[in-house]
Amino acid sequence: MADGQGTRDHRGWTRREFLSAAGRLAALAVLAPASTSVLLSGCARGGKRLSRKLVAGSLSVALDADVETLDPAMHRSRTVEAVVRNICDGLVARDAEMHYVPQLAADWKVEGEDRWVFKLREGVKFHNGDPLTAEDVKFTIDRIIGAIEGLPPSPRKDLLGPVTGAEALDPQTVVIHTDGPYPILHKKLVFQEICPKGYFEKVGPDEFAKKPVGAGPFRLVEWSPGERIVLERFADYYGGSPDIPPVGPARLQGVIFRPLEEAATRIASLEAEEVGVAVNIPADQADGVEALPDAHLSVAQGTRTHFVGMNLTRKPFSSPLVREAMRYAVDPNPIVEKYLLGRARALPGILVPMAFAYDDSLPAPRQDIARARELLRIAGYPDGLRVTLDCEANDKRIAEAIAGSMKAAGVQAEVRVWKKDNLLNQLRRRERDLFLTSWGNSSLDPSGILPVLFRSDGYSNFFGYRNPEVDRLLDEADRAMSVAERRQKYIEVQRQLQRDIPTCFHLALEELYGVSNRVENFAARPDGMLPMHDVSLKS
Amino acid sequence: MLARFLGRRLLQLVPVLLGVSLIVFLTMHLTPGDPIEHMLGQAGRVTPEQIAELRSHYGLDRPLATQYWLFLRHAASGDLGISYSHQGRPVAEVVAERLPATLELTLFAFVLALAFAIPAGIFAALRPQGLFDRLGTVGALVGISLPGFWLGIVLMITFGLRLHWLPISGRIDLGLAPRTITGMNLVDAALTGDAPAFWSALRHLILPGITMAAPMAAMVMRMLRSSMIGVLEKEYVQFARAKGLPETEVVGKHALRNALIPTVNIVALQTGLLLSGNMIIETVFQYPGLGKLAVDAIAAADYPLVQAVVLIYATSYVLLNLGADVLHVVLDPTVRTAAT
Amino acid sequence: MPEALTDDQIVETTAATTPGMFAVLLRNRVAVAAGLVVLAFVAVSVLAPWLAPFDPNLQHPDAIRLPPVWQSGGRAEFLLGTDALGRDLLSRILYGAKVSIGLGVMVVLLTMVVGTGLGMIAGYFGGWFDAAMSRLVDVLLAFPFLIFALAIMAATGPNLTALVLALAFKGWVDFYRVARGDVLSARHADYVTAARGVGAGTAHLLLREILPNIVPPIIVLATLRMATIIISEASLSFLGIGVPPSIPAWGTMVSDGRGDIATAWWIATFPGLAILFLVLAVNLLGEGLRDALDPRMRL
Repeated sequence: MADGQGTRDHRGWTRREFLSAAGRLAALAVLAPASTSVLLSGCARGGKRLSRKLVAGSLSVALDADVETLDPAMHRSRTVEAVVRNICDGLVARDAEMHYVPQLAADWKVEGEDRWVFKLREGVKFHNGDPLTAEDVKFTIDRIIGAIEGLPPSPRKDLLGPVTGAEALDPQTVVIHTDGPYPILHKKLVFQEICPKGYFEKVGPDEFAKKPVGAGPFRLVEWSPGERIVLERFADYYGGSPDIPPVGPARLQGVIFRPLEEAATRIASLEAEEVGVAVNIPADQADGVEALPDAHLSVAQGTRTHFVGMNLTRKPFSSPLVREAMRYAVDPNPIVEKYLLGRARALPGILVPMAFAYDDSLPAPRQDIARARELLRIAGYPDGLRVTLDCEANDKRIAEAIAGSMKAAGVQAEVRVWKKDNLLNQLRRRERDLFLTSWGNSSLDPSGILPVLFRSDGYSNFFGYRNPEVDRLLDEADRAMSVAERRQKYIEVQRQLQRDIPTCFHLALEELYGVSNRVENFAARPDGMLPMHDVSLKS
Repeated sequence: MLARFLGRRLLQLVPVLLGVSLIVFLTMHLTPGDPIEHMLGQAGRVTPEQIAELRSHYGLDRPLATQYWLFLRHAASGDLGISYSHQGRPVAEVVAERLPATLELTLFAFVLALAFAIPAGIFAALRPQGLFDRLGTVGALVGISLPGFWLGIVLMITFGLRLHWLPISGRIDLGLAPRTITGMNLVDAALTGDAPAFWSALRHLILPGITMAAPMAAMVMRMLRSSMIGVLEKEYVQFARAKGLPETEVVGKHALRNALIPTVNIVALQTGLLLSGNMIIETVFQYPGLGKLAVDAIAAADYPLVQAVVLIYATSYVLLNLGADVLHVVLDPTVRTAAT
Repeated sequence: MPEALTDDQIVETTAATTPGMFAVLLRNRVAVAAGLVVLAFVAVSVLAPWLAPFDPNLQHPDAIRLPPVWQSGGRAEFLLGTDALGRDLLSRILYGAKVSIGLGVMVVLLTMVVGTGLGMIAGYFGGWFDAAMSRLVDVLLAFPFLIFALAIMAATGPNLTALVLALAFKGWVDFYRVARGDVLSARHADYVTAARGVGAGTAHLLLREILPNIVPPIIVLATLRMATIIISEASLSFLGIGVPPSIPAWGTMVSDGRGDIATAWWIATFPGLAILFLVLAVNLLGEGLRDALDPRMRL
């Protein structure tokens, strides 16, 4: 940006003699080496030419976010997970239908309340040739829960819930201990990938984050941050889970992940055939992809819920009447059908229909302008409400559509846009009154979303919502060993939320991927993972 | 005496950098936004102890003044700190990965702008109010008035999507990356005599390069044109003409050298603006350079990274101006005598 | 020292007076035309509520991404078509003029007053104030403006106050330098010495004697800065950190239309053209003013 078209020369000042003190010389010494070191390390990077075979047989994938690390234990990013999952396998995986299948584990059983015994597959090798043993699994678990001294804490610790440690019984058997019953441990293990203890200890955490070694179908060849990640087929791959055929090494020669944050650029790159897969196509741009002659759209039901939340700790949404009015203020139809081109679904509550214990008896959302206005009048707002609707940049258009829809019901909402993390922090501090945000729950288990958002002490309880009854039900569900009992507890929670209304409008967007017609066997998944093992290219 | 002049100017870099680092430090730390919360992202159940542990790990629990002092002290030993959003990697390393890309684009735009502006400025000055001059003047004004982000989009659509002539994102085709020497693909390809890599890198640079070069080309052309017109009216040029020297020599040797003197400053100023504009161009073209890194780092409240990037911008700005002054002294004999 | 480059010499010409400057300007046909275009934009920005066929934020769910009227599929009530939420583009562009011009004027006035004021004080009194200011100016000139704007806006969310501050952050420096340089050279000019001789106070000297003489270059600079500010504001809005989304702004509109450019070119194209035309006209006007002020003061 030209922030001064330079109508004048501007350097009369710097010419002035205002420096003589020796102390300033010292300050120069402070900063000069710093900039030199930057330049020097820039030259130190080595590179080598990729083989022709790899280039020709590779699939390029446009990601919607940059990748900041490749260490499976040091991120909270779905994008990193989607990439790393191709390099490192886990004990448990999910198939395309989101069923849990053993991956590096051959099988497992629960002993007593708090002991899970995993048998590992035979003959599994890491990319550096080391065999995968129980020690590696123990190391992986211990590192995440923070049981290894001297390593930075892992932001994935909470994903392992009450896990207290792991022990290697023999090279093929590992035991994971939990504090009390934890019936969903195997579901949670999907989010952790096994790292090689020996290699990690040899290279250290910094190097490992750049050049991870795993037991997955692809090994890392090159990572140019911000530009691309190049993976190459691992010929000695053990084959993957037999529950997800075909078994054997990957079919692609390689995969290239490219971060292209702007949706417009991803679509344009797909159109220009610079990439074969473009993730996260916004619903309202899906038609543009469908119109492409050489590409199509791959669709999956999403596991992320967009919702409008309210701050219950202060006016106006501390009033239950206002919150009820909000529930009738939005017309889901034009938003879903017109703006999102039918590629979304309005929901009665926070859980997506695929989720465990989804309560299908709840009434479908609908607009009732008269009722909303009447409720607002009783609540003391005869002239309607004026509020700010806060959202993150990616959700701007949906927020604008919601704001437009609420006008008829007497709610004047002004949309305000934030960077994602910034909004999240403000919501956690309960500084915002009305907000559109979203929460992903790829585990599809209510334990991944309900306690986080709605327990009184939930880390992301943006609403200041407090209901001891809900807290109790959530705790009981956590420890219930019977499926039916858990289901019942979660259904009761959903009904209570329906009465208390901390959130008033819910939307599940489809996961949309643009896929070149050359790509075979690739399908969008609800969990946003990009397993490339079975994918191939038409020649 | 040039050395003394240089030394004094280099010394002036110090208070500028100190001031710049203080402003950026205060801006980042006093505005809301917490790098730790960014790191945890969508973490489900995080205890306050866990957050405190991370805060102390990155030294964020210390008083502001201490943090600033530590930053300065570490920078003195060449340590720019640890990036929060890049999972504890050294800032210098993260920056070094992106710097060549930005340098390459900036240099390319620089060359492009001058390659266009210098001949255009000369030709326009030879026949003031002629057709070329009028067209050039209008074109230059349009170049200055074009919003860069919009020009970038229009070029992308036209040459990337409609005509399929040029790639719309990235730096080089896959598998063609030349052996890394400087990190600048074009330079490395030229050094290693790698023709396919050279062409691929060049094709990737054209659209962002043009977008970036447009305002600079326009400014430089206007400056050169007007100073050239002024010089051509001067007596010594008239005298050289009267002596019967060929016009190319008159213009190329005598006039151009003098006309370039005021232009040098504009070039330095505009190059500084090229750099500060790269955040938008790199965002539009998803170009993996310093500008995009800065935008992301701010979003992530990655204080050390933002500080480092700002210092690089500021240093290059000051050095560019210094370079312009040195060039000035070299080009202009009268200044040289005055300086000594 | 290469004296040819000091401030004092760049702003050497304060001979032309303001009325004289406008008289010369009127003889420059291009500048007059540009001035008329700028006036037209100003009129539009003021009259937008009466000119615009629709509320700029009114969504028409049944008229999404309609092309302009001359393309097949276009509808007569939406002359320039509609965007992804079915909002009338023409109305949004008309209202968008309000933001561009309003903010531009506000920021230019603010930076002009602050910069000129500080510059006059520094130039007249010199001393420690002048020295301190020159340090600050050096730092600000080296500071990348966009990073400052991004950091502020990321923290506060898009809002007009922060936007004005971000745009003004460095903007006053140009005025400061011009005013300081002019005052520096005017301090010992005959008319000032004469006024001082008859016992005029400092305030009188600065405001009544010196200020009128530095007005013309300040006006030229203000006009040219205006063009820059409009582009800067649009760029920030394009990055999503400028004007709040509920206020139609051209930069935001280009950004909104980016994703649709392959299927609906008009959404990003028209607001971009609006920026181009306005900035071009302002630049032409500024150049005309400068030529009128002093044909030698070229750039």
